[in-house]
Amino acid sequence: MLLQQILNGTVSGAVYALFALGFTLIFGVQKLLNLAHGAIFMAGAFIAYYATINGLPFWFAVVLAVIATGLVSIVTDFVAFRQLRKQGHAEFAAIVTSLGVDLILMNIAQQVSRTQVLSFPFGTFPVEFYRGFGMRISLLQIVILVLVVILVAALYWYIHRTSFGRQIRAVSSNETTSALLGVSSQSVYLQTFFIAGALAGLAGVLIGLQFNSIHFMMGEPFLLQAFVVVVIGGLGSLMGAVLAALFIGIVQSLTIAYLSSELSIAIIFTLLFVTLLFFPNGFFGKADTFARGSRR
Amino acid sequence: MKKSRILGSAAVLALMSASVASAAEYRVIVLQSLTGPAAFIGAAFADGARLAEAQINASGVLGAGNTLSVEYADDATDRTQTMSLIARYAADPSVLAILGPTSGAVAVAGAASANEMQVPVMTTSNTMDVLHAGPWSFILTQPPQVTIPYIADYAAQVAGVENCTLIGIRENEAYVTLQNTFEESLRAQGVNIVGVEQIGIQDSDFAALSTKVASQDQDCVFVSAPASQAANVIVQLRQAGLDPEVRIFGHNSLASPQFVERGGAAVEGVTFIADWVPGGYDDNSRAFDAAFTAQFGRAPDNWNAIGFGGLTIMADALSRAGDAPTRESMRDALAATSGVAVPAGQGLYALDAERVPRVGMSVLTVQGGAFVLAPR
Repeated sequence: MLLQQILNGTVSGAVYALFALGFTLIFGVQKLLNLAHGAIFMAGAFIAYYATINGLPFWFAVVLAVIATGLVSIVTDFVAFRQLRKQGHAEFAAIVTSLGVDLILMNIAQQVSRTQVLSFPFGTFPVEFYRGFGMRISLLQIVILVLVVILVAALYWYIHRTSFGRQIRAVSSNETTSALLGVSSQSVYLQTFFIAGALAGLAGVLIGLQFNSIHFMMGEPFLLQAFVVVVIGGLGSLMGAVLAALFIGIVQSLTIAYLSSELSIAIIFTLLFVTLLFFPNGFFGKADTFARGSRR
Repeated sequence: MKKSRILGSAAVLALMSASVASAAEYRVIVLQSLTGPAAFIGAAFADGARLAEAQINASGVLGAGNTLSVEYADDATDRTQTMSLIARYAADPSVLAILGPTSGAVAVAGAASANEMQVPVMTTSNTMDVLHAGPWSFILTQPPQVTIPYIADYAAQVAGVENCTLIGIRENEAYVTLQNTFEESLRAQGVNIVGVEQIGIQDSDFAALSTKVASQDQDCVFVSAPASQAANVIVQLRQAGLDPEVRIFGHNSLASPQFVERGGAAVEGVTFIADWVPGGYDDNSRAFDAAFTAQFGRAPDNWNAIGFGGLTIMADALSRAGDAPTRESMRDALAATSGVAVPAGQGLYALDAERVPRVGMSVLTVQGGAFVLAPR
């Protein structure tokens, strides 16, 4: 059971990573906590669901959901953050405005779904299981793991190896100086919000598919987990977020398996508490973060 | 002749105007969790109540010209909002009764407040604390002490289980009470409880839990969760390799079309109790099923049926509360509720001398994708 639980935790952690990457990316660039991220994750699952049941091919529904949630994320930036950035000292106000967007999106989803729990039709994705080394893994779990590895590698390459990525790092380091050097911060914000939203949307589709459940409040537990992940990994650190997500996923699985399901949340938030006490910047907060400077 | 015609016409007009003047609008509030964590109950309840409202007003059961005026309010699964709404409606003398609030913690606080302000409330929650709060508060659904023995006795005596694992949501007091009552009832009958696992109401990833439960030695699993989530748990238990011989049991929340839609083949053989038998089992419940499906474009579930029954019970009390119902007469009429036809339970709803609802339950199982009465 130990190996199976580690595998379960790794798959859960991989999806947490996908979700948390966007969350930490926005924080890294803007120093803002986007609490609408959970609702954008939920919107991805909803869009893919309604596209699928309206006859669109599943692969197209996924692409549509990824693009649409990227755009929703950009709209969130426009309505919740842009004005606050102009005024400066946006950190606290942004929590309130993004929470407002979160509630609006959830309310729309609740009305659309009439509070029902939705699920993709049977056969949307092949249900196949493989066995080996005493473990059992589904085709979907394999796809999730491969997809997350590819996306994390692609994002890392994008941030660290392209001129767009350099612009993102420049703005995250110091917006004023990068503006003097001709970097458009608006373009960087657009990119980061799109990427963050698209990753969240994809995570929403994968979770909706894997666990057969799409609900207007499905993003909220993930938002809490993502918060723990980015704090432990180090706010603004991509690699930290990935490693912390995998760590949290595995800790959660092992807690449920060997201690008690009641304790899993308590243990995760104890980890958060201990990390904040002894490693206020998280485990990778200084070593890896691309966001070491101030926003202005 | 001419004079007698004029007098006759005047008499008819006088009678008509008297009839119009006596037509009354009875105001009832459906106060449910339309948003928030308990919205899966409250929103479905409100849909059932809306159908009942339309049928009550179309039937004229409240007397010629009299109408039921229902306002739907959202307690947002929030205690403060509930208290504030109850205070607001209690201050409005036109409000005769409140159908709600929804979940246990909110309902107990609401019941205390309603007793203080002397307005009848009938909560969706079945916690007995609502009744202990005073004579103005009632519970609409049967408490676990009444319902759970139907399924616990079935598991222990008919299915003959010996070792059972329990899985249930931790946030909703009603679900926790149902699970605890099942556990106590099984223990009292000598069944060993292998483990008690808790899940969150918004959780969907049960891979770790399922792997753990599937590796345990048991012949019974009890799942206490809303229909969709319970189906999801069972699908993941099967995927984790749960022994097909293990019997799976649940309570009345599983009596929803969503359970089979979400669970598919994985929920075949699952046995549970039901207020609502999908599709209906008698003329009244079948008529409700058809009318709900026609109005909402989907088949009703347990909470839709309970919401419909709740407003029907209110209308019945109104019809017995005198020509000019007051809050006092409504309270007394509700306490004397007996033999009201509802689509849930065994069909006839009554409150006993302690105001505890009695409407019966059915034990159902999933067979061929449909709900059928479980074999005895």
